[in-house]
Amino acid sequence: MIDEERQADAAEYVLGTLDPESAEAVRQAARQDRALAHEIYRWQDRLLPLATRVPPAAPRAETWARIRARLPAHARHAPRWWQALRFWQGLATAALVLATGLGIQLARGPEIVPVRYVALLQTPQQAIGWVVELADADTVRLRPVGTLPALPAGRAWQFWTKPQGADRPTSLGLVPASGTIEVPRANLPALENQQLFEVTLEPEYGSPTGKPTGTILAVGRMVALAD
Amino acid sequence: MYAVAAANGPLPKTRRRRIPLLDWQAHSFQWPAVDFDYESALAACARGEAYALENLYAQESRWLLGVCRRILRDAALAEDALQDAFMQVWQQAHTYDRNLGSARGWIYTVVRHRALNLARSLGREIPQEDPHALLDEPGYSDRQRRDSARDIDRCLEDLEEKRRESILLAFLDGYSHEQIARALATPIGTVKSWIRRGLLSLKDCLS
Repeated sequence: MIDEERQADAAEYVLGTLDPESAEAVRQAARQDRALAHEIYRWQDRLLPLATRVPPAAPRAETWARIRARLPAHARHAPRWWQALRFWQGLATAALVLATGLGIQLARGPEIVPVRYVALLQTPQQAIGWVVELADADTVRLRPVGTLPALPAGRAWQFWTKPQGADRPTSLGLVPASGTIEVPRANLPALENQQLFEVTLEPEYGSPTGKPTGTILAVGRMVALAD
Repeated sequence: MYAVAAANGPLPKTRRRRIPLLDWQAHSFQWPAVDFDYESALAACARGEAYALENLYAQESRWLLGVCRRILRDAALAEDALQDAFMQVWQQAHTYDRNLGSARGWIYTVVRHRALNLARSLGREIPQEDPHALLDEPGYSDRQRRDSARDIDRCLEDLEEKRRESILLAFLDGYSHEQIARALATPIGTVKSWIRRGLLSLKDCLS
């Protein structure tokens, strides 16, 4: 809890009525004070709906061109086809359909492995590409089975999970070239039967949208085995 | 680091062109359905991926420009503010903390603050028009609006009128304490108190 004065400071900071010195003081204080920073973010979200009262206005084309010209040269390359939002939206939908289909297929298949949790991630060719298992009670491990697929230059493998009923997958990180990654169990939104795991091919620094955008290399569902 | 929107860049020199005062817009404009991941867009900006900024611009620039125009009342200045604000979004994206609140709220704060700072550094005068024209609220009695009132609208409606006016003049029109005091012909100390108390009531109502 923070006191009323500071709550009001946070609110006025967002509203924009503090004088420049006070605003700067609040900004500086928020760097050290997480409660104050949190209150500022809350006010941002509380007041945000008011912005819908203002009619939109289309910017001139030059405005984006000028912003783009101010970006560092290395970041400014023209978007390539695989960076186009529409492309990924379409592909993500297709991939989800595919993932669901494969997941159902896998869930039907008898797979018995002597550990408590295991998911076998199948490639679209029905081969097993990766295994997800508990390395220990607190660690989930993804490890490859057999030959790893080729990793094109400038791309990365990204590891995802999606518990049943979740509205979106959660990224568990980029997979090193070894094909193996260990993830603290605490990083997973859940660990349960039927939970979906998958590895997708993404841009070098990971999915730009926070959701899987690339080809699904392998996918499967977690099976919780009785003791 | 929990840094929030930061300081200003240099001021652009721009020919000022007046755009008319907008009437107080009692109804809300329909924002597009949000199937856009603002948090990940900021994360990608922080990694230096320019197309994420471009996607963000494509998604939100019309609405953000509307906000800037309302505050600056000048089409060219509003575009300057938008441009500077997008550079700030790009440069400060790494300071955004998704655990604390939405990326969209963060972005609006960056943009509003840029427009406010620009307006104040130009020493913009209070427009000639009667400020109450801005605050005529035909929509508040509108049944349809009441039916669809969102929390913030309902809570604003519950506020004492002067507190509500002060908060809206500050948020939408970017007025300072002094400007609100002049617009409402009220001592500045009273305005400060209206705003602070009004905001705290708003918070109680919203929580």
